Amino acid sequence: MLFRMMKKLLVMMDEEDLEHCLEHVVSSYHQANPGEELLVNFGFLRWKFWVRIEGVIPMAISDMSEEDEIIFKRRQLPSKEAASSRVRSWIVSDDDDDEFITLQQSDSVLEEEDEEEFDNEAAIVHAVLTDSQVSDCPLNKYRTKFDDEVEETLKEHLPKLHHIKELRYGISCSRVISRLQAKGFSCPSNLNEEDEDVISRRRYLPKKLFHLDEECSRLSEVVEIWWRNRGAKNQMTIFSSQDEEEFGNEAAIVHAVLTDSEVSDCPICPVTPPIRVSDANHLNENMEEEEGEDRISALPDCLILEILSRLPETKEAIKTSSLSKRWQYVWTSVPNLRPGPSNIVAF
Amino acid sequence: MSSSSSSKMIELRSSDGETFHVEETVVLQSETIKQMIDDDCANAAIPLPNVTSMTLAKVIEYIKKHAEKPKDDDDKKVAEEDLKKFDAEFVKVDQESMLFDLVRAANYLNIKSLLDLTCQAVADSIKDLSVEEVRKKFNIQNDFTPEEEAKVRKENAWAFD
Repeated sequence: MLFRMMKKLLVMMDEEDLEHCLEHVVSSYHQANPGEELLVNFGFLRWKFWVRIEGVIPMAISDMSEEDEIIFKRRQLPSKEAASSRVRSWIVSDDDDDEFITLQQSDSVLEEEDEEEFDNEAAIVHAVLTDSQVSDCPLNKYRTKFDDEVEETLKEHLPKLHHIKELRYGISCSRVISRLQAKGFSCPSNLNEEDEDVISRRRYLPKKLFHLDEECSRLSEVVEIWWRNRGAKNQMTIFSSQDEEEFGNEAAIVHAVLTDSEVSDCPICPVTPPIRVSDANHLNENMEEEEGEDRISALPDCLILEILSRLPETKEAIKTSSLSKRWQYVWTSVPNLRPGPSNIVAF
Repeated sequence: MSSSSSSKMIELRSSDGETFHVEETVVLQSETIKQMIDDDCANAAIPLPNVTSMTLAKVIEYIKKHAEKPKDDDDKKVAEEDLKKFDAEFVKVDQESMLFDLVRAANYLNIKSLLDLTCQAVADSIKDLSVEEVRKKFNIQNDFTPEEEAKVRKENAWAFD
């Protein structure tokens, strides 16, 4: 059994809070599911911490080896540390929100490799969607705006999540959960049958990580659905922050597949979103703008990264963020970024 | 020359339909093609739909040069120097677009050293330029509003010192 939510919480909290939180979650879980095994998945660094508290709270960790493999796999994605920076730049851009300060403080925690495991994918998918001209992708747009909305939803649903086997949240959701937790809200323990559908698709993704081909088609599915709905006013409800993770996983997989299989000339966008008339016009406009042929921006991200990673100084790469929107976040995925010492926190 | 005359020839076909015959030992520098050969998919001409004949010719020039093997240690030093010179000249292309074609081809064919070389060349051409100069050099359309651009710069302010 996986208590996905935990992962997110672990990313957000410091150790003491973690320990309390774990105790709380685990005891309420055992109350709700007497005799049932609870498996908590951790990223690699948190794993050490986990081992430390294992003596305090008995939990089964039987499936861990499989998960570890996944983590390793993801580590090898080109954007490694980069996802942290990217996620951080999203956070930084949310500076109207009160959450900003809190998150900035937990910055160091997000820098952890654990974070990569969860949000790397979101970062990649952002790039995917941007590349595929689905550029107003929901990932970085609707994060904070809907915290309140998410909070309401969670307040309503969490108490019902009783028999849930796996629970996964996008990063915004986990933020909201932290918030709820701070208000003394108890952890989920019940899932209403009707609610299951909502999360079922997300729920099984991690297990399928090994069936890569299958996941590829899922990405197109998800992107297409999103594309079809993007004009609709209910777009946000369809793709709220909760979908981040789903998008992310799939994109990461696709990315990994294509990178691994080395057919990587156009590695990150296997999907050609259906083009609608209004969008087609928009595309034409873009074409006209490209008179002088901008060959460098047309390169896939992975090749731009190859170039940026060969710049002598990290700040040279960062400067490219102001070239154009295409370049704004690319640098954050440079694999050998060497951020200043203040950004590195040892765990 | 490096390889024996008995070496098997591999046929490559560019996106515009031109065919190139290259010794197998040479073309093995491309991991992509090596994989195809290993998988026994290289009996007919290998289609390279992403690489134009102009680019492919350049790539072949590069891998041929890099397949030359020095006879002894003395020769090795000379050859290394020679190769360095060759590389330096190789990336001095008339048109910048050729450099990007090479980057893409090196990536597609998975020739690590060529990817290194070409990406480094692009990086070198960027490194001392201001943002405006890079935009101008590569025809990058600045699609930020002035406010947005100011914000991006502010976020990463330390890099713009």
